[in-house]
Amino acid sequence: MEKTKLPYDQSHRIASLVFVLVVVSKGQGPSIETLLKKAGAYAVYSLHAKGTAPNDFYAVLGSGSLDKDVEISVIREDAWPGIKGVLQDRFSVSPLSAGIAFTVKLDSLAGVSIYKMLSNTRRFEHPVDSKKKRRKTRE
Amino acid sequence: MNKPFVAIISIVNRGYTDLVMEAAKQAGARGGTVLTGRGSGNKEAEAFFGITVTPEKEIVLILVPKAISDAVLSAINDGAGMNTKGMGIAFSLPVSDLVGIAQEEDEPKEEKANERETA
Repeated sequence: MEKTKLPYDQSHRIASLVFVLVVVSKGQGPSIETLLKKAGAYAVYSLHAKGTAPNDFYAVLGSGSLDKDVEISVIREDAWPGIKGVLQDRFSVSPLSAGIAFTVKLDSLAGVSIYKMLSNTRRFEHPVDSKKKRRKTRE
Repeated sequence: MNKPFVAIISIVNRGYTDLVMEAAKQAGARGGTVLTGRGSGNKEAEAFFGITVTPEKEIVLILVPKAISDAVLSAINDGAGMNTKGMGIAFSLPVSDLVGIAQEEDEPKEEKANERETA
């Protein structure tokens, strides 16, 4: 007998995804990238950008540079609260480490493979009906 | 997130981000971030209509409260829209959550003073 293949969304728990954009001062980007990857981001896209606030505003804050690092990624929505907490702490340390981060919910994706990649299923997800027991990690 | 925010993304010809920011600030926005990009205009349309699309673009990202997003979009359209040298387009995305913007600063000072008195 042939087994009927269930659609992916019926055989697996689907996690909602969010698009994350973080703007920080130049030089802070790599550490944000590390943070996002530790939280489960499959890939992080780094860009260079410039702020548009007047220079005197930055002089008051103690930062003389308008150069920015922008980090873009897609992560699982349930990972965001953890990242948000870390970013809040980080942004409040000093004006040099200040930044802005926001999320936008994703409505749809172009296929299961894209979902698997963006949600990092290799790391997080297991089939709902799987009878295989997870191996306990030896401490 | 107490107050809903939107991310306004504006794509203009390179060198015209000032038009966007001036218009946006007049409508209540504070600051923005500029990224560089490259347009890929329709070559057939260019040949037919005789217009040239500058390929080098700049993308301006502005976070504003949802309450003023329509005013900011409208101001950007007037100041840096398709009828200007900036030849810009602008759209907004709903922000689910954000970190790094002090939302308390947006409250009027009088309200804060009243809250302190009542407390």
